[in-house]
Amino acid sequence: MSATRDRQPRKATAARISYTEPASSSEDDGGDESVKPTRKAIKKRGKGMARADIETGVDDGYDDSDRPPAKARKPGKGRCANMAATVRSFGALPVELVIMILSYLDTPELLAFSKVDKQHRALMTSATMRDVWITAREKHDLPALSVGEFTEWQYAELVFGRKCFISSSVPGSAPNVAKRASESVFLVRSDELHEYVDLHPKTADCLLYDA
Amino acid sequence: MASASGSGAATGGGKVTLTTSDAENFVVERDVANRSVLIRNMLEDVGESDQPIPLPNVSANVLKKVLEWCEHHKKDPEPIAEDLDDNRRKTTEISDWDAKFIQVDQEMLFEIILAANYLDIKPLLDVGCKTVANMIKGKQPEEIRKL
Repeated sequence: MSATRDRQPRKATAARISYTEPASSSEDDGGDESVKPTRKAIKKRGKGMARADIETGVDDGYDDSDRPPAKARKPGKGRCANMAATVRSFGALPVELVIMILSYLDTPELLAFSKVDKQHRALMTSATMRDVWITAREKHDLPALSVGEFTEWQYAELVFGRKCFISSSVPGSAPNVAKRASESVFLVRSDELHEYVDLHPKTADCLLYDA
Repeated sequence: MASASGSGAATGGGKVTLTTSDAENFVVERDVANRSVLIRNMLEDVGESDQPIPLPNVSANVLKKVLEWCEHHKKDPEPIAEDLDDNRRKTTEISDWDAKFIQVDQEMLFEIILAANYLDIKPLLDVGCKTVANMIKGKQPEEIRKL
């Protein structure tokens, strides 16, 4: 990492950090109305969560190929559109059949599916899909997280995707930080952070959150 | 059409008449029709009857395809419920015959899945779902959108 790059963070990295009130996580690319189920899920599983999305530039060695499209193609038509559009793209299959199909996929494939457009994202981040993510996670022999740390899809995104989330830590304990790694995930307590030298440069930003 | 002479129905040797949404009649062996849990339950409820069974959610061209599958698999042992659930999550492998059978256009594929779901033919539903899953596998979001 060169000093030049550090001085021009805007060019090299586009960091977007958003802190949200408990239970009202605003998805920057997840739409407004259509993420109703997501909000519910986050409210339930990750109360008091502050979240940072960090999108990195091209020169940090992170794969860019799974980048979500900058703009969702179809404009959302309110909350009733979310499931319908997902279903339409599958030739009018009901959601339970979509779930059945997705149960065969691995986590990276689920992530790709969730990045098709807003409706797919809304569906995949909703509580309905929790079991699908768990099924996929178990195929990779990844350990389960303790209650309230991350939602399943956030966990998947951490390990296989390119996002960084702050754990909604249990009150009184230090927040865990997870870093994307190609094959493994690090769950690091903030007071142990200095022991890890190869963390993503933006990982420290995740610790802005103070319980 | 209903050529079944009723008497053998209870032992599974008789014939069953199925009427599709577009009012076409199919006369099939009871063994074949029994692959569908929906039809099997209907037949058990109705008892011995020559009445055709209406299938208002399935059209003739789809039912023809579904019955082709049922005919080929009529001797299959009844799958054990847990096995079915387990296999579904593990592998997307499809037997050679099924793979060939399911080589249809996308619209028909989804019609077969919907029909298998409605008729409650789990092994066929699995074949359909695995096929769609295989279509998604290894694709970028842009390519999935085109599905």
